[in-house]
Amino acid sequence: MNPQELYRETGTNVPLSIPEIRWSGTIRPPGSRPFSPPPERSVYLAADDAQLYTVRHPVAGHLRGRIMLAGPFPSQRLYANVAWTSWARLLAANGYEVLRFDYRGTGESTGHFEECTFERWYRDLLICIDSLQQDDGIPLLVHGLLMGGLLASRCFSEKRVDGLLSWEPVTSARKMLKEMLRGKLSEDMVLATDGERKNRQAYIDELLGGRIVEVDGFPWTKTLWESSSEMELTTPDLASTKPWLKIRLIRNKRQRSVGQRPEWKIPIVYPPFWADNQYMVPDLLDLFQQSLCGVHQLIERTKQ
Amino acid sequence: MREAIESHVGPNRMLGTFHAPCASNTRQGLPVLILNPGHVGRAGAGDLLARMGDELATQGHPVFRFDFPGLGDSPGELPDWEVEYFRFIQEGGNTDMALGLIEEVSRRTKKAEIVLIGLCGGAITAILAADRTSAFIRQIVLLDSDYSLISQGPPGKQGKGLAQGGHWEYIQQFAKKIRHPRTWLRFFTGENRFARILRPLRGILLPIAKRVLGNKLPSDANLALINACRRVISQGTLILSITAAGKLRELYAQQVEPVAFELATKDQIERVSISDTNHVFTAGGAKSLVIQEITRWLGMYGTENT
Repeated sequence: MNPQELYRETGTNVPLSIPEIRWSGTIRPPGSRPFSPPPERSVYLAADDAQLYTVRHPVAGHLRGRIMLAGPFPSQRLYANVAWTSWARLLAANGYEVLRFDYRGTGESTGHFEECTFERWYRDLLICIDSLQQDDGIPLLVHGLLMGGLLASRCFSEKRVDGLLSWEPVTSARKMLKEMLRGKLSEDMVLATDGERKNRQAYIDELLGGRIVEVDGFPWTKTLWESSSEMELTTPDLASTKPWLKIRLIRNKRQRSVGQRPEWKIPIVYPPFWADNQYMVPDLLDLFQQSLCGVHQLIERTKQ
Repeated sequence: MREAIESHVGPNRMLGTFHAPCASNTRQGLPVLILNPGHVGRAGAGDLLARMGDELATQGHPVFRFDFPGLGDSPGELPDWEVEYFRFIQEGGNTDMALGLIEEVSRRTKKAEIVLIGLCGGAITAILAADRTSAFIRQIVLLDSDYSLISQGPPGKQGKGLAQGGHWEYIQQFAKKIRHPRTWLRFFTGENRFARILRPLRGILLPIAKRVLGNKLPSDANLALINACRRVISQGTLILSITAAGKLRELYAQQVEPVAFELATKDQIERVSISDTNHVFTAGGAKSLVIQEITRWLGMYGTENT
């Protein structure tokens, strides 16, 4: 499907022009020749008592901007990885230097998950932003996915960056944890364990009582649970002087909307790419194409 | 202490992590190479393999983990569907990469003897690589290895369920699936969507199914892999096999292992079955149990003089 057809489907008068895209990474249109940006480099950054694992995607030629990627909650990282790295490669191929990282205590970063809080993960994001930012006038955007969207929004509201892009940001860290506990109940049903089955409140009580609750292999603690109460999404004001764009990733194609308001809805394949799936390479061409368009626009607006 | 590293095997660039052995531990542990768990990045579900690397490094082992091409941080192409990638692994698609990584680890550590650890698809690659390498693989740790060969094709269009061709094709596929022993094994072990609602029924049927299946080699067994197991065993390699109790792959292994490990001496294979957990060991506290078991086993066999 070409960009014009994509736009015709929306039924809206879209003022954006889609630039020619240099496709790169695993997710790209069938038959397209991948553009190879310079190889990405993985580096550990020192952060208090941990090492933060980062991957930097450099740019060959004209540098349009820098983009800090803030990934989802650790248990979603595993499945979101193909889409997330592919998106980073696409950005790099199109002139954006990208830095992605793992929150402390998770993935390739060191540290103990048991000691993690949302506040510490937010500070990790700031450390990485400091590492990416340079005093050369090149605009810096932060792009968050799910939990990363929540952290990125805070970053934006504290004026740490020049612009914000978020994909399906979670509205509250507490709600997100509760939703994940529901997933744990579902797994309890599958595992043939004897004895009384717990409900969600029982697990919350365990956490509040100081016990560790294992969810998707991660040891949740009281500290993590309590820190979630302080993390709520703050959607920027429409009159904000700095540009932002929030994209909701929806299931229903008919509700697709891409337009002048900075809140878009783009359909993606469900179950979504951050959940356990049968597919390895999710079909996210529409999302990538539109988001890249959005990034170009955000960068242009930072210069106004 | 971790270090970001990379390795080139042919035209492929693979990013990885090195866990430096703990300086305060004087034990000279053998180098360990942990392979990608099937179709996901090198940290594994629940970061099991990343934590395992840290713990083994504390015990004096230099530990290496790399992403195979297309997975995790390594660039490369991937098929659209998980089943396609698993078939690729089962047919030895990652074996050359693993052999390249074994050479890399051997070169970096200046040691010819290496321990291989693999979960699920990683276990398959570990066996196939150990069978082909000229380096001496003294120990292999197999985590819930799969000895079957996937016969089904890709499921159809993304987000559209099983089939592209409407209801009739769906029915045909369903009818084909229902005749396949693996479908029933999935049901009995709680690994398909109907198993959850019919839990009491599968509890009754499972022992009956076990008796019926017996120890015959299943028709969909991965014969190339089983033959590789036999050769690896005959070379004297030690194996620690950790499985999720009562789950699909453990039941399958019970059918296959009498053939695959027929030539094994009494102490050559140790089996550990962990209950109340899943295939990737992210439930029931299995993550720390798996790491404990591997640490204990390598404590006995994983030093240079053993």
